[in-house]
Amino acid sequence: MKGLLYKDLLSLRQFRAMALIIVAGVLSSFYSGQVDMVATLCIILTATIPISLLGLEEKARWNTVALTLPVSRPVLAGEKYLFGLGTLLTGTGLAIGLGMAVIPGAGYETVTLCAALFCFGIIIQSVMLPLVFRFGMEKGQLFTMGLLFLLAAGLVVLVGNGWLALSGTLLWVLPIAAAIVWGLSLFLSVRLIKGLDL
Amino acid sequence: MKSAFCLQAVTKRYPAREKAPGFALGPLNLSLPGGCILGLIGENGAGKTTTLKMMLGLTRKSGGHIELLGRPAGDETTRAHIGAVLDGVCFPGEMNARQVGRMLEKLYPSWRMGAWQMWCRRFQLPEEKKIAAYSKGMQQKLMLAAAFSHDSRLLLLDEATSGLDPVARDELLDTLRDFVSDENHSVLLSSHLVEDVQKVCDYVALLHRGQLLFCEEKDRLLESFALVQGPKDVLMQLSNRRGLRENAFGATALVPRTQVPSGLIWQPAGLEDIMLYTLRGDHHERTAV
Amino acid sequence: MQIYIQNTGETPIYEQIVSQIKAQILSGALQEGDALPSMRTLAKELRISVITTKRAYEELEKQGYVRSITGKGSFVAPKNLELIREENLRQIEDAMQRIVSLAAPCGLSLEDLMHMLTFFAKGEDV
Repeated sequence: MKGLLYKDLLSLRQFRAMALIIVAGVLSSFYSGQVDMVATLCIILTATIPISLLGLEEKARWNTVALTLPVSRPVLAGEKYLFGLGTLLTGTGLAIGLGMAVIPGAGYETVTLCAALFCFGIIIQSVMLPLVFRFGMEKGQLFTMGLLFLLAAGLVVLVGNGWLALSGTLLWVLPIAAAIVWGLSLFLSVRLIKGLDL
Repeated sequence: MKSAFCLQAVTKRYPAREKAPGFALGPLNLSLPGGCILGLIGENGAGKTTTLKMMLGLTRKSGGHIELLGRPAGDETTRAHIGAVLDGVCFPGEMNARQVGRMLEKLYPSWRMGAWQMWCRRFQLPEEKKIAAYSKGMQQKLMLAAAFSHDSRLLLLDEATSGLDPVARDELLDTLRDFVSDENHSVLLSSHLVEDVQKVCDYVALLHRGQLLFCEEKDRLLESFALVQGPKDVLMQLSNRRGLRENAFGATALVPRTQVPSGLIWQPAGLEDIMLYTLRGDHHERTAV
Repeated sequence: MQIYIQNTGETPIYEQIVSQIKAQILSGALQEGDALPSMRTLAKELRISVITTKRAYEELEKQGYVRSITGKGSFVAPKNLELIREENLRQIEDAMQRIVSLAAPCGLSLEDLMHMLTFFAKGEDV
């Protein structure tokens, strides 16, 4: 697994564009005094890094090479989850730091917002990773957009009809839901990769 | 006697679909004693790559049993002792040789960085250049360097020489001979370059449309055939012939050496001759229009 | 020790090795107890299959010229006079066959041949 993490770490160099966007966002939020948009951007973007890596690997047929190495299939799949967690935490940390820097007094709001966004990031990864493992990058992205759209639409309906309140309870439900979804997703991805014929 | 690998009744079925015809491989019974080199030859699409992929656990077999180095195939701890070079794939293009070495060091328990650097130098692979900028031959050499840089006991090479020039191929064949220095080191070389296979192998197996036509000791195989030349009607009488080629001035047939008719000119058959005559059978020249 | 392999296909490779080593043993170039190169070394140097060198060594052992000790290698067997005798007999018979085939077209009779043989055997004119 360490070798795979090392490889993915090196691949981060390819996300220079993303880094620039984030830097631009950071600068703009210092200028505007607003954090929400940039925090959202930062966290969601870093959440998608492992999926982009999977896309690059797919083009390079990396799985075919990786499985000639002493790496098991579950580890190959699981490493992306670990790495994704890492990138997401980094992005979240960055967003929190930014929030503290731009709006010094609003510690609680910033952290809550970032925590909620972190959970959304986890959910995005949990949805996308198995879909990309199963259907490949192109179809996987399409399915994900479709699913997330449905999710968003569902949320809007639920909240609009008052069945779901954006309240304190949500703040506890969200992390637990995210953790469960993440676990299920990992389990599913491992099963999917075991069934893969290369 | 140690076993390098053993395939028993291995099959692979790809069911027919809309645009693709079905493909059936096997049942294959193929094994190699330790310390030897097996050459796997056959046309494109015969199933050589599929066989190798099943041995590596990349493709699931439909049936049968595979053992590598005495352990069931697909076990990732066995892969710590296997060096595989597959056709058309390589390490990530964004990395360079030095970084690949560092990555493999973390993946292989028995990685030898000194050996890696030595092989990269020997193959003249620039350490700092991105792999995406390597030629096909350089990519193959990189994969080979990796195979030689850890405690490999079995090399599985699929078209590992096709991108190399004749000098480089000759050097590689020498390296393979050095590799099988004892019973603990073996090689499976799958290639369409039959001359290379003939030079270096101890055993030869011919795969044709998913079926194993033979697996023999190379020298015994070559000793057992002869190419006979003579008039076509005389050669057509030989019921034991493996194949015949006719031209405007006579015909040549592949026959068992013990059955060469007296009075006819014969010469030894090379491995490529044996393969071509076996696969093409009787082949009559079309008359020129 | 010198070994040269021809790929013309007339003689199987293992037979070439057997006859060359045998000749060197009979001529004394290889002495009793001399170690032969390992099968693998021979195979690697000559660029031939190790199965073939193994076959050659097994044949030499079968014919009594070589003795293999597991773990140590193959060595030239003690000069077995019986073997040499048999080998020489074989060559004498071959030569005699050739003499007879050559004599007929020259019109030499058996008596003529015996006369000539006596000359050679006694080393003087009879």
